[in-house]
Amino acid sequence: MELHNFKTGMLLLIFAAGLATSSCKGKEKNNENTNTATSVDTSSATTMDTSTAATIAPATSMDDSLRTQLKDATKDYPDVTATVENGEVTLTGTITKEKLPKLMQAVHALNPRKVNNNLTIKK
Amino acid sequence: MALQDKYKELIDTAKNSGVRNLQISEENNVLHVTGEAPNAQVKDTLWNVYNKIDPDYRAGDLVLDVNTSATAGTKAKVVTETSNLNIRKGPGTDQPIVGKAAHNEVVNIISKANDQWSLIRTDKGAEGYVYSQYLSPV
Repeated sequence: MELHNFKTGMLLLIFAAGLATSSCKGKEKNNENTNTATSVDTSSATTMDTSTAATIAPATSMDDSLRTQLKDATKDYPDVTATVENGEVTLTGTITKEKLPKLMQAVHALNPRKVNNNLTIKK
Repeated sequence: MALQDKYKELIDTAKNSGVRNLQISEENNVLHVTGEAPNAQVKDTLWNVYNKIDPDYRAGDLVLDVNTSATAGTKAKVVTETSNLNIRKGPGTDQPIVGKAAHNEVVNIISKANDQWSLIRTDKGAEGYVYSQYLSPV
C-alpha cells in the first residue's frame, strides 16, 4: 500500500516536472541554451516580486497606468518629458506658449494627484 | 477652503456654463475639479480662466479634469491643431494605425473604450480607436 502511494507520488512528480518543462520550452523557444535551473530562478524571482508589489500596490499600479497613459498624452510633444511618482506628474523640457494649454489639458484629463509644471516656455 | 477661494471664478464659471457631474474636492493641498463640459468652447473658457488665475499653470494646486463628453451614438468633430487624427486598431499609441480622420472632419462615435480612447467610424468607413482629447461633440 505504502509502495503504491509512493509510486503514485513519483508519477505525479514526474508529470508535474513534465508540465513545468514543457511550459518553459514554450516561453523560451528562442533561447535553446537556457537550462532548467535558470528558468526556475526566473519564476521564483517573479513570484517574489509579485508578493512584494502586493504590499505597495496602490501607488505603484496607479503610477504604472499613469505612465502608460502619459505616453499617449505627451506623444505629440517630443521636447516634453513626463515623470510619475506617487500619483504626481512632473513635466520638464520645453514647449511653446500656444501648445501649453493642450498639453496641460491632456495631462489633467488623466486625473493625477498633482501636476508639477517645470516646463520652460519658448516664445 | 483657501483654494476654493483662489479658484472661485473658475468654479463659478463651471457652474454657470452647464458642466455636468461637477465635483470639487481638495486633497493634500490640491483642488480637484472634475466634470463633463457640454462642448469644447466651455472647456476652453475654463482653461482660460485657470490660466488667468494661475499664469502658465505653475502653482500645481489644481487638477482641472473637465472634459467634453463624447457619448456613444453621437457625432464629434476632429479638433486636432492642424494635422489628421490617427485611427488605430486598439486603444493605445502602440497600436497600428488603420486610418486617418481629417482635421475638422465629423466622425461617428461608436463607443468609449476608456477615459482616453473612443471607438469611431468615419463617413468613408474607416473604423478604429482615436484619442478622445481630439474629439469635440457637435
